[in-house]
Amino acid sequence: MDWASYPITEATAEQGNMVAYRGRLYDLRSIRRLYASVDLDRNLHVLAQRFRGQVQN
Amino acid sequence: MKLSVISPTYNESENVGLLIAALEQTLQGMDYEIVISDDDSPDLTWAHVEEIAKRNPRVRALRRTSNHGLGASVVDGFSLARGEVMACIDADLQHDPGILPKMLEEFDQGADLVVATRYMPGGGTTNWNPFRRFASWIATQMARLLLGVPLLDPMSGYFMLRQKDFLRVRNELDGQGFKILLEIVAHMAPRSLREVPYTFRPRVAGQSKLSAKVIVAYLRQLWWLYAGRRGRPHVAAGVDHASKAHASK
Repeated sequence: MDWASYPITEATAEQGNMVAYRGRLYDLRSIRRLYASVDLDRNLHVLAQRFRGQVQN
Repeated sequence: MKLSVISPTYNESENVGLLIAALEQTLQGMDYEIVISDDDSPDLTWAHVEEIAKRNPRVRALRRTSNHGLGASVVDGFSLARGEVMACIDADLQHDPGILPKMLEEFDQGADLVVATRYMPGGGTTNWNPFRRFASWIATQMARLLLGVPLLDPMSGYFMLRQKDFLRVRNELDGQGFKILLEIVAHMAPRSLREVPYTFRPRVAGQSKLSAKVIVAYLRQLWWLYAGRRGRPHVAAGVDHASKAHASK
């Protein structure tokens, strides 16, 4: 996943055992709005990446 | 969630913490979120908000790294908000957060769009020099004349609408203009507009974004909306001014 291609990012600190931070990535520039997220541990290692084609409203 | 308060920011790190504190005080006991939509500010406004968000889950920081601009920032904030009702407010504390409950009350009484206005009894501006007053008056009259917008303050950046209404017009919004309210009113054609008075306050910190470039952008936006108006229904909604409504209570 190319994180830099998403023009909007939202980072949150999480309370989970493994997941310390979650980054939400959005691209709203076209009709087909894109959404992805990435979970990181305390050492900023990637635990999981998710991709969804449409932002849910 | 009942209410999302969206604030577009650029270099507002000195003000944004004060804004969030003022909103929390005003909205306590309500179901709300605060969304700061930041244009990748060099003063790291977005990082400041992320720090606040670590302690307060009601606060969200959106960092926008492209398509910068006030209108686009508001559109993105509205698009990612989770509330049924969404408010737009400036981060520089010139808009009084204290009237948000009154604006929300207008929705409960059937309004489609609620705009905070400086130009009705109970509202006003402070510390504006005569030139700025005159320029604002001209810009307001142009918007009312060219677009037929029946608002006392169509230049207001402080307003509230339902998310479902925003989603209905989102794809028609250009988002390049300085005054996104004008675009929303022109495309949404709300049936019931209400206005609530407030006093436009002096900036607490930071620099004003008003410049010659912004004025040119406003004139371009006005012309673009005027040219595109022919294909759309005329905005002919009746306006109920909240001050009158509340005065009669």
